[in-house]
Amino acid sequence: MLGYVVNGLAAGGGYALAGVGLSFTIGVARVLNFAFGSFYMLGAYLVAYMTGNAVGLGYLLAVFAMLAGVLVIAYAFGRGVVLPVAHRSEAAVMIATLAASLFITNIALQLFGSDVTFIRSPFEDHVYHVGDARVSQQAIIALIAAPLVTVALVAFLRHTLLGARIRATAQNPQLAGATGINVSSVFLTAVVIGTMLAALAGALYGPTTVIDVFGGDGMLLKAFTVAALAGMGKLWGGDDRRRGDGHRGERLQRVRDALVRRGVHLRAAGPDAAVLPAGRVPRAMTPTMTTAEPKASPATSARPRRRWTLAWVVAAPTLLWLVMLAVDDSTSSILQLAAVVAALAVSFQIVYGLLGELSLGHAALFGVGAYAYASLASRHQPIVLAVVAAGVLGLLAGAAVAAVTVRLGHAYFAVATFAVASLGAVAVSSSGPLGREQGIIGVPAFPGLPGLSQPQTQLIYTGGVLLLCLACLALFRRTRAGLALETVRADAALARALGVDVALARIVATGLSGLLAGIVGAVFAQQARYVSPDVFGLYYIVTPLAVIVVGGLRWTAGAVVGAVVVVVVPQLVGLSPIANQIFAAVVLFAVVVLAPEGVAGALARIGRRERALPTSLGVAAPPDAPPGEPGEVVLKADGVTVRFGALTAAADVSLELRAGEVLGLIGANGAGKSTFVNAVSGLAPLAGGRVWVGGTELTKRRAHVRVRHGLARTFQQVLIAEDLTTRQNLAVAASQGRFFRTRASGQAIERAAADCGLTPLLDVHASALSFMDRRLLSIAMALAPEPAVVLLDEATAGLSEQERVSVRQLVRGVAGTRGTAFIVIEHDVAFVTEVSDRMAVMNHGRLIVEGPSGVVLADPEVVTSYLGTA
Amino acid sequence: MGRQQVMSRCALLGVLAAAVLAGCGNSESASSSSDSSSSASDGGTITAKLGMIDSLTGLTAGAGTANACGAQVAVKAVNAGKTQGTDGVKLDLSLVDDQSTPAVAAQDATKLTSQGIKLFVGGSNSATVLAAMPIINDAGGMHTGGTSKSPDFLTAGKYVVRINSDSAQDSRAVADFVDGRSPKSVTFVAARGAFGEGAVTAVKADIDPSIKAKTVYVGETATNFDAVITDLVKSKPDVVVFIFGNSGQQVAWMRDWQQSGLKSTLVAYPGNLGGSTAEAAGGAADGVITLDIYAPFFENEANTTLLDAFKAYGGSIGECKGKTVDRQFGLTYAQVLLMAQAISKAKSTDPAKLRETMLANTWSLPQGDVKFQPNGQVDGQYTTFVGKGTDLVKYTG
Repeated sequence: MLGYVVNGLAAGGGYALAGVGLSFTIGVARVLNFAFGSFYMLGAYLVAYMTGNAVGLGYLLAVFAMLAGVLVIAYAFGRGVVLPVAHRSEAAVMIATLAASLFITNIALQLFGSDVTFIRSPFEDHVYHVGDARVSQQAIIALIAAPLVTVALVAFLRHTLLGARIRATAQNPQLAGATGINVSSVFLTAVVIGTMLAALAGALYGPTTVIDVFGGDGMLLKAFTVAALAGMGKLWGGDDRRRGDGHRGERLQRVRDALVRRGVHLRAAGPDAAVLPAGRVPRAMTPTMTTAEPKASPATSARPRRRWTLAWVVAAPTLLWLVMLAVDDSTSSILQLAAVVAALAVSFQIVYGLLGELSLGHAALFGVGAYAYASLASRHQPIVLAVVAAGVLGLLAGAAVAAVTVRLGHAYFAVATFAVASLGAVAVSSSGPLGREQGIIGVPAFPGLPGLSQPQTQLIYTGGVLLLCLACLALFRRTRAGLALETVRADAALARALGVDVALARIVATGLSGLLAGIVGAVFAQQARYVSPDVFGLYYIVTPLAVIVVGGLRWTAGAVVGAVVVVVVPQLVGLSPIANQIFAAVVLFAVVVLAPEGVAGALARIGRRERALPTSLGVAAPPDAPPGEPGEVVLKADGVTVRFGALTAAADVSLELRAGEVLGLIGANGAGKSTFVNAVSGLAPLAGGRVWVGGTELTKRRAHVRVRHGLARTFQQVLIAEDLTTRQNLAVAASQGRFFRTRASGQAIERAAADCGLTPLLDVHASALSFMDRRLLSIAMALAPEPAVVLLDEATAGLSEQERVSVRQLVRGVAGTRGTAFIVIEHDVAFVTEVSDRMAVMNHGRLIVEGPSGVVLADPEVVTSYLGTA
Repeated sequence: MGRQQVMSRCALLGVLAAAVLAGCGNSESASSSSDSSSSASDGGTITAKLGMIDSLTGLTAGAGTANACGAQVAVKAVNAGKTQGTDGVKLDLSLVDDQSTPAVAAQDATKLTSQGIKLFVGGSNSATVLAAMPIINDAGGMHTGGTSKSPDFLTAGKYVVRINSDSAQDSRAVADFVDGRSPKSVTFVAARGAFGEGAVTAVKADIDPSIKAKTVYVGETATNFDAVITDLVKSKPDVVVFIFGNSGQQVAWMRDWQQSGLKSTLVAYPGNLGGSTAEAAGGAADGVITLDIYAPFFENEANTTLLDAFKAYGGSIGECKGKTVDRQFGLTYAQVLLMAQAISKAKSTDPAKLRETMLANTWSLPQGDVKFQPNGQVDGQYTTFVGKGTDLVKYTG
């Protein structure tokens, strides 16, 4: 047993060292570096080359020389590949690093050839015997290096200024940037350190085994596993363990509270500025930043155009038919593969493009469909049954994956889905009825079409499934469910606050995606006439991802354009195989960097004509409606308590709110106001206490259920779905996040828009709205479902005096005319005094006083804790 | 312009672009698609089109480029008239990269068959070869199996022959060798998976049942064998047979074995120790015994021609860079030579006639005189080799 333990530890040394490097990069820079394995390979090859006959350096000297060389390459990689895309989506970074990996690997293939080699190290020749086990000095060096490097990194992070900056950046890049830390420089440092560790792992672990130019791929997977087990960078400060809904605010609150306890002076002006030392303005947090320039999405009306839809229904099949007639069989083979990849990418778009979840296991759904079809059709079952089974099994597999990963954060979801794909490959490889590793050969093709050759027929089938997927995506994204997914992608907490069941959204999206992927798998299986465990592999994971990132994640046509760039163009350039791969890498990287919205987005931008935006009409609700008679109790919080570890953020807070009443809630930063609102709305877990809305106890109900009982809210930051129009945002809100609501909510949409003066902007994309209009939209979204209670969390932050007056009029008007009750959290005491019927003050998580404003503001404890001495 | 309009126009543009690209491809290859698999020129010379789908990039590029080198050297030798039995035959080789990916191999097969190519050689792993086979078979094409040993290959097409040994033949040869050593115990060290597990099962079934047999499986990509060595140090078997699917594992295993100081007889399963593997092992193959149907030092006319051809043409072929003559090279060279000899004898490139001709005759190839079984499988004649330094030499017991 001792021998196995020793051998296991020795073998694990190299993996651990690589895992430390990858984990460090993920933890600090949140970069999932797909080129990591290539640097492992590069480090090993450079040492092998320098210790070989051609150069003849000693091993240690070669390692140092290699590190010097890789430092330069790693710096160029960080500067030239990672930083240009670091501010973009994780997929963009992944594709950029993937392109770098493809580039490095094929350059190495050209330079070193494809044969295996090894590193000559004197330490590998010295072997120790521990019991029955034998361990080389080299393995011991690799084993010791991992904890040593970890300890050194931890010491570096804890005891150096740069380390402190890295930790701060890992915790919150935005805030780090706001405090004067050069975040790009920290990211670059993290990438270089991580990359150097990969190369060092190659140099130290390489001599214990053999190396080849593709060996880095295996090490990447192992390092990935180590990083996942180690918490995906948690050691270095990164935190992506759990899903973000509602917890972002909590984390921020915890940071604030910790800083407050340590005596850091906080500004009272902005919501997130609270953590900053006095006088430092967080650029990223100011309203001017929030009102960022409109995105590249179309600025004006996006009302669905039926005539275009109809035109496509006719034009698309016609075009497919024309293409089929125009191309020869050889080109047809390229287009068939491109169509399958594009269709798979479209199905992937539902999960990643709409829901915003990066799945690395999408190939598993495709594989399930391919195997289901191949297995049934080969056993002489009807073709239609086999296709239906493929789709259904894909749907079930997708829904099951979503169900079991529902509480995982983004990076963990990616890892978990990747594990699903790997398990799928292992499962089919071990299954006798599925042909084990050989797979299933001679899968029956779909029936031939009269008058068409086999390649023409297959182009019709593969093109047809692509059109089917495109149509499904185009139609689905217009449904309530599709719009709800968009809000989940925008912000899970926002989605919950609108009534969207985020868990169900994930299951629906992944299930639908699985349905389409399963059907695509069936079409692929009948076209290729063969399936093997390879369908669960990296090609079908990475290629669809590359296709939609290159084509345009947010565009229905993106997958088609992406497939042309990624699959078709490299086949037509006619370079040698290695040059072809290098060309593909360069194209991939160039598109990711130069066309952030993908080629489809760039093409659309070229053809776009900017038009002047209509302006909002201003708040239309009756101004300052007088307080009416208090109605029945619509919200009751009794003893609400929230704890974050040892910190009690809200302690035994009890409040009642009656219909038509406006309650102003004030208190210093960290007093627990937002935590209380989060707890009431279901976004923060209750440690104690109970909550009722309209007489129904909702203490144990999830956030989206509370919305459906009449509880709505806004957030400190303006949270809206930027890629949706004003109308679509309101539609999700008005339907309380339900996917399949049949009752028309158009009236509620129109009314909320009219109250907030947004009627002229109903068909404008939210990303194009001014800051004030976004703020109004967020309030309109809270009003759209016609709730009994609205929780407004710093709804006037960043607004001008005139705009604050508008908001005050809106609140008073809605409260007075509709009987809606409001809790208004504000720092502006004058505003709160004017808008509210009653006031309440919190301090250190406790409710210290409640009553008419005159009484509250005169309370000595309020004066001491919040207003300051007169 | 609204977003929907933009998207619609964008998509329209994409489809039209695809159509234009496709149209370009059409005009370029229209003539080739109407071609048959051969053409006759003046003097009765047959120019035959050969297709080769192999892994020039990706995970199995090592084997694939060796195959590509062998095929290209053979084509040059045939076209230069240096080979025996290929009179009146010229070859036109279309070599395409399958990127070590079955889906790409299937697409390559569609592409090449649509160009009228019906005769296929090469292929460095079973998955890519088997992925291409249904399409080649549908097109009425013929394949000589590449270096795949899969039992499924022979039933994957109508016109197939295999010049490489198959798993059953290999296993029987290994079992005979082990039996001949009369060991008390044998341990099989194999990679998990169909190939490794299938081979172990077959050899175990063939060896003397009185021999105590044990199996240790490792992962398909494992390259660290310290734990296995620890196990062997304890059990001290008389014979150890290793069965791995890739050269990285084979080299890594032999290096770990060398360090262990174990004195058991180490046997490499056929295909696990070739010239390039012995060279890459840097001396760790010294004393390792293997059996195979081809080695570069075979003494026959066809192999002499092969070695000369490699010297003459290898330098001008990109895929031959850094390569030596080994079993991958030799067996792919032999496939091309077999095709040329069969075409010359049959005076035809028709797959049915060629297969019939191949099965009915004996062929002088680098591995010696070769005959085929009725199912298309070559009659393997094994020779035993042993590693000597970084070379392989004939084993003399």
